[in-house]
Amino acid sequence: MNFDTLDFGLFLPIVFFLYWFVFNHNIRLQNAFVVAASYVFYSWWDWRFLFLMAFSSALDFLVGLGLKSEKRTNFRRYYLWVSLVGNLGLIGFFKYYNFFVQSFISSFTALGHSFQSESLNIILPVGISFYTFQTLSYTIDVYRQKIQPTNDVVALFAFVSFFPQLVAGPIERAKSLLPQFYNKRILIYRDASNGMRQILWGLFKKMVVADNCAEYVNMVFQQTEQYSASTLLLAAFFFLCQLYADFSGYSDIAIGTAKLFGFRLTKNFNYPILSRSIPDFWRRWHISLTTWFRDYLYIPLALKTKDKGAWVNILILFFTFFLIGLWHGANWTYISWGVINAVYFAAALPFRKRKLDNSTVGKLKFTRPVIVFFQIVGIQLLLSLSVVFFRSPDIDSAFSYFYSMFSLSIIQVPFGFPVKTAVFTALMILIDITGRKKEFPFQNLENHFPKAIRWIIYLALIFMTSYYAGMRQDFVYFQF
Amino acid sequence: MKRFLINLFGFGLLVFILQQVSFIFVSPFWGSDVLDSKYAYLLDKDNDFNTLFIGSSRINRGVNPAIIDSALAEYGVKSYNFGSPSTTNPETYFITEQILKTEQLNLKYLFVELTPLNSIKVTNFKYYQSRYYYWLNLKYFWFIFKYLINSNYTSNERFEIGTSYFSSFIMKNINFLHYLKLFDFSNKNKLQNFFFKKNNGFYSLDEDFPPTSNYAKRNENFKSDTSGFNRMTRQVQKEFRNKKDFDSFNQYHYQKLINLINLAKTKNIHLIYLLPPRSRSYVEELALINRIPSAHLIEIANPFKYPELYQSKYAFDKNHFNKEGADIFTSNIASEFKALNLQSKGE
Repeated sequence: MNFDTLDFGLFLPIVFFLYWFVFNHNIRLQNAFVVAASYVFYSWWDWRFLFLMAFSSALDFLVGLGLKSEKRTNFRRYYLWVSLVGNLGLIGFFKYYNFFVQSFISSFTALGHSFQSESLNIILPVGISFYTFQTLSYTIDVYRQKIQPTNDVVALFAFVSFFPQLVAGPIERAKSLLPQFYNKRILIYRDASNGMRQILWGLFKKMVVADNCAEYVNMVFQQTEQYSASTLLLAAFFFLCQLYADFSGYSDIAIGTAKLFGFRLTKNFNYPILSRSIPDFWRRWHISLTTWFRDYLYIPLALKTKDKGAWVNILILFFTFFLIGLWHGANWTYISWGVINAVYFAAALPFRKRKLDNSTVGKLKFTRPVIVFFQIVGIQLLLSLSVVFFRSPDIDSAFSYFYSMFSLSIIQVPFGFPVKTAVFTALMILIDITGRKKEFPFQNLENHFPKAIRWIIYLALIFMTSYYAGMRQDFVYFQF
Repeated sequence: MKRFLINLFGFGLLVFILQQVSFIFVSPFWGSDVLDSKYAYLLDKDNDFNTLFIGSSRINRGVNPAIIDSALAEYGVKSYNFGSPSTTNPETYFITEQILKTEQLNLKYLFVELTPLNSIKVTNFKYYQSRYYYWLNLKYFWFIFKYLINSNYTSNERFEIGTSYFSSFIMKNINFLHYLKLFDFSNKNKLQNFFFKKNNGFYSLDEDFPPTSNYAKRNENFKSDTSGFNRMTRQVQKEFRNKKDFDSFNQYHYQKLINLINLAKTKNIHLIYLLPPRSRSYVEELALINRIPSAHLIEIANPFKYPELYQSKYAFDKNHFNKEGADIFTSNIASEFKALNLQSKGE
């Protein structure tokens, strides 16, 4: 069930009503209802994949209990391996089987050995990368004794399947979300209002900005050879904007929806459009995934190899970005995107002096704003180039895109400049800049405006979302 | 919680009221680009036409006003094809009412296609689309409710169809996305330009689309396999052969038809129901046509009386004529209209 459909528009109020008015007397019952609602939500795509999610949840619940009763380090490690093999095995089979088989065959064919290609017709279960990483974080944290394993099977199933963030994150840590299922939830007016505003803002970003950007981007990426270099560059920039508006829009709707049920989810985007360096960007972009890789892969590896010099550290960095790319999809384009970002990141490391935050943007004296502006523009330009890999169907297409982009036609006026899309993208960026100190730009609006003004703002957002919505596209991150 | 719900309800009410108010200021056919464009054209040329044809794609693609105008020149007929794809009962009756309400039009004759209730199912994607429910106001929702109660559908079918219309009704009134259609002028302008080029609203299927379109493919598929068409023809023949058996009619449907005839009379318009060929089934209509006053009915569906209209060489696909077929069908309407007028004069 997509967030921007009528189905969800009917599903949400029904679940909200039952959650707060029917199942609110008992936490376990309420949690069981969350599981049921989440499974219904997920089954909208394909009910057969419910078994995978249930298997993953059950496996980690049992592993958690095993880790609780087991004190011997070796045996504890075995338990961890059972979870890793089980979960990564699922994701490996459903998401990467064909990719690895094809890559293996291609490599050997290039070396002069021929193999029969036997790819399987496997459908990718929606959101498998998200919930698998979420459930893995539970087992790893229990193994590391950072959290207590749960005895409450319903709470764990609810934690893994919680519908607002089930199919595209944020990837929640057990430490932060699981305890919320143990305690009685109450609906606080401010949280609920903020939740509604965040949903509305997310819908605006998705339906107006992302879907309109997609129309231009799809047109250009479908026939790249027909367009001038300037058009290709513009399309690459609009794809970056689409990606941001689409995914952060989803996260906003997810976080806002969770607030309506009394839950707090992790902030997934911290205005990456204002990034002033590549490391700064990666602190702001898809935070729940980057911190996952940081905490469960990069830091442990870096700690193990801390005496081996800077080059090993750089290798670990590349390996991490390689896996971040691979996490996105079984295609060399995603891996290339990850590796390019590793190059950017590594190149920026020597220049890292101090942490940059949102409050410094636009508040600096005289020449500083100009420098900041050029830093931001430069970073967005670099990122626009990198996402060409993300968007292209294969590596060859990506290279041919670059080949066409670096030509003299860069000085031509871009073809079919999408004025409406540009205006709404600019509006989104402007609103992001004004609201950059908040969780999302419309947070706690009641502190600044009287009710009449607030309602006019909501109506304006609703009107723009309905009138200027682009042709409906699936959320980009659903494919992951 | 209470405060949140009160605020949410208040805001929802405001949006609902704004939506209802906005319906007042837009064209009655805001959900249908084709009808909206044709309506705009008619209003622009308000005194040019005195005869309209309302109905589904079978009318839209089957009635050629040029032939009507030439055959009925002695009656001073100047006709316009106001048909539109996927337009069936009760939408046709809503359109008829809206046309009758439009004082600006100077009509003498109004032809309305006779069809059974559009039995869309709740699982059907169509219930999402404003095209399929822009007309669904409270009055028509109530009409459907009564229609279903009085129909021969099974309980299960009644529930499914009723649920579908109910969700459509709710959607019409709460869906903010209507604004996209309400104020979408670009697509309408394109269509208006399209209709303005040929000023009688008629485009036959074979001249309308380039050979690469899906329609052309549909035509190719039809030509390569006409078994479905033959089955349909046999079914229609069977129904017409046994038409005396079909006596049970929907009294609310019948009452609606009579009300529209009377409403048209008050405006000095002669309303004629038209039963075209190539419907999947005529069970409901066969029971009705015996009761509709003969001065208000033209029936050109009988496969024994009009065998040429069931020949595949005149078909574009199973349910639609090609250009040649459309011309024959239109000539038949003109002949029947003359007969109807002679009969009226005789009476």
